Amino acid sequence: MRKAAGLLGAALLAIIPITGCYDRIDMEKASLSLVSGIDIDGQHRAVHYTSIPVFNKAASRKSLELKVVEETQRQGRGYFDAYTTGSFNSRKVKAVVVSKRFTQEIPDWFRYMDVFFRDGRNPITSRMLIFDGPLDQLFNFHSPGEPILPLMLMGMLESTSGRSESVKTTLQEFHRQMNEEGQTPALPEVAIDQDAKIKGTALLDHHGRYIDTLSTQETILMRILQKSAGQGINFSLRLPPELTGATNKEDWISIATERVKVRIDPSYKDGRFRFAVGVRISASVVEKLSSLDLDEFNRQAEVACAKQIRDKLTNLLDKLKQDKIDPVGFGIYARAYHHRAFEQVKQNWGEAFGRSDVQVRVSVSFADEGSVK
Amino acid sequence: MKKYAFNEITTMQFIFIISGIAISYGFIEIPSVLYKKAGAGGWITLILGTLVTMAANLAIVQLMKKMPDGTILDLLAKYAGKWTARVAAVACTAYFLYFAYLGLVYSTRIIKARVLQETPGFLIVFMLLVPTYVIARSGIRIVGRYAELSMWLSVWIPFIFLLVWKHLHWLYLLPVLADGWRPVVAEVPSTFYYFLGFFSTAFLYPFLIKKEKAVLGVLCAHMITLLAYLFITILCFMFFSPHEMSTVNQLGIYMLKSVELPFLEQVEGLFIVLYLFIFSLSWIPTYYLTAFCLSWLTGRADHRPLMRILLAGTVVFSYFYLPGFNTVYRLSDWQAKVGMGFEYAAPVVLLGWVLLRDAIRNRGHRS
Repeated sequence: MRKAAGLLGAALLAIIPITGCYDRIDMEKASLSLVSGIDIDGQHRAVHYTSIPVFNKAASRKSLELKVVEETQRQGRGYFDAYTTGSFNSRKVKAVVVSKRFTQEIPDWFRYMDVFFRDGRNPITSRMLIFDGPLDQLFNFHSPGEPILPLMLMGMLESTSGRSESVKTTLQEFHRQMNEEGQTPALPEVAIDQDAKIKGTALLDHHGRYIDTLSTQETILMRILQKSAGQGINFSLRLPPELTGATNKEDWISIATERVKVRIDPSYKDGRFRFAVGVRISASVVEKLSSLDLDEFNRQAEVACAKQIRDKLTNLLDKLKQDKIDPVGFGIYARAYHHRAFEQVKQNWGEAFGRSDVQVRVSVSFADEGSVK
Repeated sequence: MKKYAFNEITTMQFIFIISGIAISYGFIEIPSVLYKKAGAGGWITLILGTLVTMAANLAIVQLMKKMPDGTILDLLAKYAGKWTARVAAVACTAYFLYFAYLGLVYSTRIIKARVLQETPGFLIVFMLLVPTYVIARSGIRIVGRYAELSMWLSVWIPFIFLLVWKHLHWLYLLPVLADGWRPVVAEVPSTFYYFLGFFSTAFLYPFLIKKEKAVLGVLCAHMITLLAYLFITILCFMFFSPHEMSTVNQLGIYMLKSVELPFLEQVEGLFIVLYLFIFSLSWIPTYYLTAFCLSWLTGRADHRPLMRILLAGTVVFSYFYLPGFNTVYRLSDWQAKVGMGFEYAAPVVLLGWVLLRDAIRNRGHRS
């Protein structure tokens, strides 16, 4: 009997620490911010935006968008609390949007993101996006045909990055890119033009300043060079008229890649880096407008495709070199294989990359020409 | 006469106690230390450090062979007199208590920073020490069983870390020797801190059932430690860009934060909670050894009252003061210095002395 009483007492004692959950929060009492945004206003002050889903049947709108002018993200939180019905919480942030102007006018703006990394309970898997225009436009945008802002952004990102048409940059990945001397960051760029859409990839320099935009087609090529492209990339290319004998409207051929192999060989000579880029693509033909006989002219068609892809890659690389940015990460190769030479230029790799010499070789082989001749 | 019969441990338990004490929070901290000190070649430093540690630990085993049925304190009492042994017992008590307290505070800090931000620290300490008492009061055999269980329960850890696979950059491993061999070899002593705890061999040895397997056990234990460290180190080196290595705290946990699973958020939170099994190996065996040394000193057979005082004292102390992360790191720098003398140098010196003494005495017998 005494033993039983002792056990019961011990069990009761054990309950005490359970109440020690000071960190619990009820769903009803939480206002979960799903999109966080940061912009700059006319007086050069940082403006923080947030989008919170509303789980109330009576509410006419499914989400609540708020905006405060405050020095830091964490300070803004207190003000958001005043507006929301529940306690404001940014632990479920799905997307972080910065405006293009913000990246251009605030030097080293990346420090505003510090709270996501320093506070151990904030996520670092949130997607980073850049918005072309004032954020007011994005946060007040309610398309009748689209779901609420976070779902819309995430959906667009998933579908385009799945087809390699945009990059998928999480906070963690962005942190790595910002802390990487041999690579410059790249973020998906959103714009509102009739409807919200992914415009392509925004390229930033080492300090996070916006420099240039890549179209979705150029993004595909960049991701091939990064070796992060998915499978089944489509290319629509033109065959030369001397091969098809057709007019310039009928010379199109579309291929879908099956396997892409990329090899980058860095070398260093006379104070200049050289990169030999070899791309080997095996692809299947999915569309052909001309009456070219692929059985007979297989080799020629392959060479023609390779040349077209090579030209596209060269154009892309020229653009990057001109902008003095390296979103592909050639600098990582340079550091790995020519460490000493890289050490000298690592303070400004973008500059050194602009002076480097990149040679591209492409070979295409058709694995399958489709089910009709 | 077998003083410690009925409380024996198997070779497996022996292995897991030694490597458990070492791995605990070294697993979280070692990648950044290695990178800071030795660069991308840090994993070579790690291998060299393991070899040195194995040698130091084998010295302890050789020493203990002189006294198969007693701990190092009994050995000292026999060779150097009772008072020397008492002084040593005080030193051991202090050392193990410091060790246990540091492990406990580190774990509490991690939990407080990542999981329970608003819960007071002393409550976390209290919650951690309740199971500690339950396990450590029952003697070394139960501690051994717990160590073994914890290690087997943690076999999933490598697999969950492999979820970061697509974030890895193999080129970050190159160049291996950016600054030549010098830093790689010179920084070997800075790894020693993460192997500390093998001094417990000097107390576990008499409890070991198959003493002939002690050497094998020691080698296995450090092999496990090495594999665990190598795994996390190389993974971190590939995951983080060189500059990031020095800007992020607790690399392993940060790495897990990048994992996205459709059915689970905050993988690292779950990891920390389950990893407590391993964390706890840095303080449960050491608290036990503290109580053991104390009871040896006071000549009591029962270590439980002392254990109660120790644990209750820790909770009460934590109510008033819980060191911050920076203090923890400073305290561990201290421990690294003391531990190097205590675990690496002292046993070797002692072994030399004991061997010399026996040799002189034998010669004396012969003539």
